[in-house]
Amino acid sequence: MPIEINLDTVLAEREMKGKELAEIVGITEANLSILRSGKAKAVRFSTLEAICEALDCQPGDILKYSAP
Amino acid sequence: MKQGFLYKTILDILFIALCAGGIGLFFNIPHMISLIKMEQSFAQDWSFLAWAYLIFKIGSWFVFLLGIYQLKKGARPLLNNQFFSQNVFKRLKKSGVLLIWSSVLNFMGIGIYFFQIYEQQISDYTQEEDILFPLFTLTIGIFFMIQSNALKIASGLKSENDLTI
Repeated sequence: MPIEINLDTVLAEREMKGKELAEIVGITEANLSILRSGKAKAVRFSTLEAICEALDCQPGDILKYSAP
Repeated sequence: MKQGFLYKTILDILFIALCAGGIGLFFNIPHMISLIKMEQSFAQDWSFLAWAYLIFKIGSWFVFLLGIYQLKKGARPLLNNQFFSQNVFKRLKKSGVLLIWSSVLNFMGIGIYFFQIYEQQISDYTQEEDILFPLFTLTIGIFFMIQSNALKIASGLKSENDLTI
């Protein structure tokens, strides 16, 4: 998929676990896992906003576009 | 869901009754065929068209039975709350196709019948041909295909929604 998720990198930088982030954002660990693995088809703005707020980062830090 | 199981049970009973009728016919036809009269004559004297009529009618019934069988199989996942299972819309599509074929075969039988009427110029006929039933199965078959397609699209939308975080 052209859109890559760099969530693992940002989580490591913030020394935060996935479970913790899922709890703060208000999504299940399974859904977070889907996001991290790149299997997600779409992300709601509300979820992206919550993730950026929890990790104190920009959407561009988590999402990266690479041409197919 | 109890209602669903009740409907499924009724469908199963109807299917078994249809099969029982078919099995009875299958075993009895060799013995009975010499006694069946069509075109005012016994089986030994039937024309090619008379045989074709019988074959189309029996074929139509058999294909109809297969269509009901597919419908029966498609109902099971629905009762288990698997509304978007691939099995459901595949079986629904197959059922639709089979019902359409059943109506086509039935129409061909009816066509042969009316051709014979025309050929023999019989003004009043002792046998009635019901055109409503094949029209009904044709309509239902087409509807099942539309429904199958709609369920397939809905399944895609659902899986996309499930993967929306």
